[in-house]
Amino acid sequence: MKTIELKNVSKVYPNGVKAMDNVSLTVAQGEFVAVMGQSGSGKSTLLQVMGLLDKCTEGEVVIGGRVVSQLSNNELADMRKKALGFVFQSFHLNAHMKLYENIMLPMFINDEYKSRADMKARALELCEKVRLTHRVEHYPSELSGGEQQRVAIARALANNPDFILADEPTGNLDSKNEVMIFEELQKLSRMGKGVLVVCHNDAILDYADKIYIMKDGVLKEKGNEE
Amino acid sequence: MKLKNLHFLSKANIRGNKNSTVITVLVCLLVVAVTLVSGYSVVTVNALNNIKQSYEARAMSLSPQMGLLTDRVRGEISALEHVEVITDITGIRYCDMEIIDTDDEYIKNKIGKTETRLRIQGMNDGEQLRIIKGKSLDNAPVYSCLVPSIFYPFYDEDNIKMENLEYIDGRTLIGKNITVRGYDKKLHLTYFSPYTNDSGLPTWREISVPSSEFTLNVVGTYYCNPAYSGGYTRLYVSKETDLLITQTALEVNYDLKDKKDEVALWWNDPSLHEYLVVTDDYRNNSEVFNKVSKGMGYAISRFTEREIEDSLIILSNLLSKVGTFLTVAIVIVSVTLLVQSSSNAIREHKGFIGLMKAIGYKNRQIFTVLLWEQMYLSLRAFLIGGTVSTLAAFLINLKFEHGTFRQLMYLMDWKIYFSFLGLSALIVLLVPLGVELFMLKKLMQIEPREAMSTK
Repeated sequence: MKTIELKNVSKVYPNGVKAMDNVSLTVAQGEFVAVMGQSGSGKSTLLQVMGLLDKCTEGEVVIGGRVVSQLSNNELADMRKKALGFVFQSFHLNAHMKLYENIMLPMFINDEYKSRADMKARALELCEKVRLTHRVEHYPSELSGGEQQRVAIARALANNPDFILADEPTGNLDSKNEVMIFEELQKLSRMGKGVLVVCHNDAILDYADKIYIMKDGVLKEKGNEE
Repeated sequence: MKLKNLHFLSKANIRGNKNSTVITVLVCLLVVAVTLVSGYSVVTVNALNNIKQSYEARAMSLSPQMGLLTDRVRGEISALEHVEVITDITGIRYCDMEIIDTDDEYIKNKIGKTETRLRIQGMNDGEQLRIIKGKSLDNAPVYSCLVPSIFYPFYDEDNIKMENLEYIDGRTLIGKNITVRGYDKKLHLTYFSPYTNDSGLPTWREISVPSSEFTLNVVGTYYCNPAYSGGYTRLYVSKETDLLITQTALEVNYDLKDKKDEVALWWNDPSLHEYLVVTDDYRNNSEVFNKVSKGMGYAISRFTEREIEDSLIILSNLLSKVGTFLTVAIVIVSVTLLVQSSSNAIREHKGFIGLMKAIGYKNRQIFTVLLWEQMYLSLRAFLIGGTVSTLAAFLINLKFEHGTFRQLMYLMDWKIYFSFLGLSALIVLLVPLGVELFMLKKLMQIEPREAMSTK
């Protein structure tokens, strides 16, 4: 079983702010892990470092047994493409591409897809997974916030990554839709994906297997904060 | 990334580019301005410069009307500053000729149905013609001739109006024979009689002598500048041929009766002949004209038929200045917009670019997408603008190619046109490339974590 690990990771920004302080965290395939905390607690920095969107100043990031914290930018890009899928608070859907075309975006740089037809077939399969088959020909502006975030989830799954990292995925959604998104993410973990969600929404407590709390750059499992 | 995926992504971005319509319109205008306005400006300026510096624009006629043009007088005039050459123009250059026969089928079919009319001129000393096909008259046998590149030897309503002329391509006549004689079987010659008038000066006279037929062999085609009026009827022969035809007409064919002596005296006395005074530059014509007429008191006159009309110069200047202004203005606005659009493509889409990086796109792949987007936008507009201007130039050429001489001046030279089209393609394609390269640093500075921004 593959894991994604932070080993004694610290992150200090050039202005001296210590956003992560000796953080260790493991997310395994099939696990749904949530990191909660107030704004400025360092939880987004944790996701950035774990998702190879930023580099740590100390410690190691290990994905599937491979230490990746010192890889070049291009190698990191390759790793993100193959092993990780991202869901962000802002859905970042291209307004001028149809739903299924947005899902195809990561496939354009994946040589495993031989033709546009292969990509479309995979995109439609993912649409079905997030229950948006009836909307495949629609543009993002014709979808609700919840539906747009489900498209973003489908896009994160496009290259069949082992891990899904989500940053405040329900930040722009109403309560009905946030439940739906958490259910989707939970479903993914049940399907064998390692899921890490960073948020400050208590509703996640009902879905996550493990809950961590981040405070002033220090990560602790819920219940062991003090 | 495959080209079709690249193209697909770029097209999606273009749909979201707020400036795409304005860019398309402006780039179209840029192409039209650079190709058509500049093209026509260059074409007319070239044609005018060609006339201005041509032999005939630098030539003025000198006659013995105000005094005999003795060797001494001609020597003094040729010694004047800016005078390049003085050449004797005695001959048949002002005689109307008609075609009797030819082995060119097209012309032959018209003989009898339409009146033919042309002029034959001996080459002047120092005169150079631009031979576009065949050979020059140097070393050619007598009775060889050069035909104009556009030839219309017919005297009909179209010729009088100088409109819708079905020009003959002079190049097709090379190697063929044209048999001609003076119009109405006569050569109308003018001369100066040595018998003086009341003022003691030579007298101007006319004679009509029966013209014999003579056959000219076409050895070459010279470039006929469309801005010359009447140039399309002019055949050139060597000086030797010119004099031979004139002399034959005078000596063989006609009983000159009482005029025989004075014609002979005129023919044999160079001081009674007419000359061309050719300057080194058309701008010096006035200076030489004043020195000869006011300073020395001889009859010198401009070839008014060869002079450039003021309206043409004004139009040419207007085209040149307005064209340059318009072109520069449009180029500046379009280039500014292209620069703005290219830089905005990166600045306004930081979040989406961040997302692309987050999901594994490399800098070069994103750069290629953005570059292709701008290139495609520019190229599409270039193709529309290029098609419109090419079509416009083609239609203008179609309308004017049988038009008046003045209209012929506006025929687009396709070499010039395609040079400008190439130039506009360079502008349109290199500007986005330059801007994207300039913005590359900014693109690389965008971190994948920008995708986590809420914008």
